[in-house]
Amino acid sequence: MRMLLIEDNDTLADACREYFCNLGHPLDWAGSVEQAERNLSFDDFDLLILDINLPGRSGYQLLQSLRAQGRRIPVLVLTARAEVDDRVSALDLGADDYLVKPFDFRELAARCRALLRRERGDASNLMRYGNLSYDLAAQTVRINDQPVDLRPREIQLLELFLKNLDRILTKDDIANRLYTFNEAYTPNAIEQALTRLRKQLADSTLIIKTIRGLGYLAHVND
Amino acid sequence: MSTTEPDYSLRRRLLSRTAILLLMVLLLLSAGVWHYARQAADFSYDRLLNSASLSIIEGVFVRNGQPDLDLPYAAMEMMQLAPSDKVFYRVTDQAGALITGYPDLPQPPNFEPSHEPHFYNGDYNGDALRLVMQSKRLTEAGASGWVHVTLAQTRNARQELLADMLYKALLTLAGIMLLTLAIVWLGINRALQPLSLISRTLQLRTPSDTRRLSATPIQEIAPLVEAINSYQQQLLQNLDTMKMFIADASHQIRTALSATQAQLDIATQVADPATLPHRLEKIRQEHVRLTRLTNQLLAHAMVVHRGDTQHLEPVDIDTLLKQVLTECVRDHAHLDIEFGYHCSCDTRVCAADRVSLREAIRNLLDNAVRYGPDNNQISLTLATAPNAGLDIIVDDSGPGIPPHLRRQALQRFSRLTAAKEGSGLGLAIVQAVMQAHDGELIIESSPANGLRVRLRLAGQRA
Repeated sequence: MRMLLIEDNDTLADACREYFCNLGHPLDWAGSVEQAERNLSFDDFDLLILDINLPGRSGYQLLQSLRAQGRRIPVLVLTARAEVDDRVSALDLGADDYLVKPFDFRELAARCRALLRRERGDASNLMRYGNLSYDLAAQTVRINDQPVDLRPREIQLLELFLKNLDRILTKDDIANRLYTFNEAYTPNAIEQALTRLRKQLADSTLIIKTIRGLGYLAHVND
Repeated sequence: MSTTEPDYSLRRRLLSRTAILLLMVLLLLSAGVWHYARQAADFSYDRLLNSASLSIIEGVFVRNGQPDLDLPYAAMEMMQLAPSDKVFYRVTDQAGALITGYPDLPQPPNFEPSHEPHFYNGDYNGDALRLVMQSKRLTEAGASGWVHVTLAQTRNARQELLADMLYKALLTLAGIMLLTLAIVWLGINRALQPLSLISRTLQLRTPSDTRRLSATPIQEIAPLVEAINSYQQQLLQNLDTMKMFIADASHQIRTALSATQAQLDIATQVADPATLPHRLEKIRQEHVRLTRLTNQLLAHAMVVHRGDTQHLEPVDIDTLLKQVLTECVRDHAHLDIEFGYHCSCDTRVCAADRVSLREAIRNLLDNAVRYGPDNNQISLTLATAPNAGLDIIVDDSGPGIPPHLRRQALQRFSRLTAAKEGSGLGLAIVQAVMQAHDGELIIESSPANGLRVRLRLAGQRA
């Protein structure tokens, strides 16, 4: 995957480049919106990491013009302003995620992976979530390249969680997606399926958290 | 910067209004005086006219069965008392025929002959006249009936008298008015003097002068002085708090910075590269602490600022809590902490500032994660408060805060344990947010013997 970082602070940009290079991902760097536009016109990128406060035109303007051109490239916004309003407006303008400076590199990398994952889910049949991989077509799951034996209902449950990472799913959400109209189900059945799924996934980086009174949330901890 | 209008002066307003009032009084009085003077002039000259006409009618006698007139000189002498006036007369007999005088003097309207004199006004050859008609009934044989004497006089003498009286009265009145205005002017200046004294005192003050304004015995000014003094006290208190806050904050930041710097210095001089990772890890820890401190300081400044300026709007607290909790669960998914949410109320909307309330709840959840055990159970509850508002309750199963330390926990930069690194600002931020919401921050014990923090939002005021 190829990423473009648009950031005017040399030190931060350098560190980012080195960090991602070490992870095996090439990272191109643009210091301004104008330069970024030149880069974007030459090359294809899988992901944009965009700082908002830039000399000259701001990151928001680049984001706006990209979305106005109909380009769906995932954009992660970096902002130094911590107010929630700012983040909301970034998301409103078409950013896919945001991170407030100063951030942890591990966090940045994890967010980037999450974005790319979301993006590639539709395109390819094999989806990777840390050490867990899921083949959409064959409906098989592997952890550390070892196949895991899951029942059809658990596979369905897993797919539902993978499609809704970091979002809360209520028991009703799960029941509505997993069971057809004339299939009788009990909340207990869902819990049993979930318990077994959790046991099977114990060695994976996928965590399914229970939030009492609210539902379930799946998160990839890579 | 000045908001004063050049046309709006208390002094000028008071004075102009008093002057208008006095002028109106003057006009009313003048009308009265004019009326009175006219009556007085008419009264005195009517007497003259009456006497003269009486003496004329005394001169009417009957000769050969015909009324005739012997015009007495005394009557004319009498009329000489008004030397600038013209006199006209007419005497008519019982048949209305002219005996002597001007035949075309104006006649009184609706005249009924009687022994009383009849006074009226009229115009003659362009002169305004005052006329009197005196009648006498003749009873002689062949000459019985009413004989009329009409005596007229121009009004010059009357006008002079009227003008004279009016002039003197008006002069007196104008004098009184001017005197009143002068007294009012003095009074206003006197009344406004304490105000100018206060503004001069305040202008001459340096910012470092913290003395109170001296008390005034004037009842109307005392509340102003009191208000200025209490406002000043508030500002001074705020200033003190601010100074303390800055001192505390600089202490914290500088300490963290010097620790980082010291570690960096040692790392650059280190001879054995094997110890470097250890040093770097220390630097990293110190830096993380500094980052958190900076974030918390900025968050604190943000919520205080928003509390000062933001207006509260209706916020769906239930949705807000779910969002914050989801974020928190996502960020701490790798830990063994159990999260729970419970909402037991029907109304979930409350007047609040979404941004700062979010910050407060996030701080409480982060605190619970930070200070709780590894298998912590954190639950967030939304319930109806006894004051018809909403209670947001954050429970954990951590060590809790003993009652005698709870007050201290709310103070900025006070950390209760040295074991865990915190900024010491978390609860202070929550406290500031609750103050901006007119709410309450209550520290209790949770059912699991951990900490329960209850944020009580005031019910919507009607």
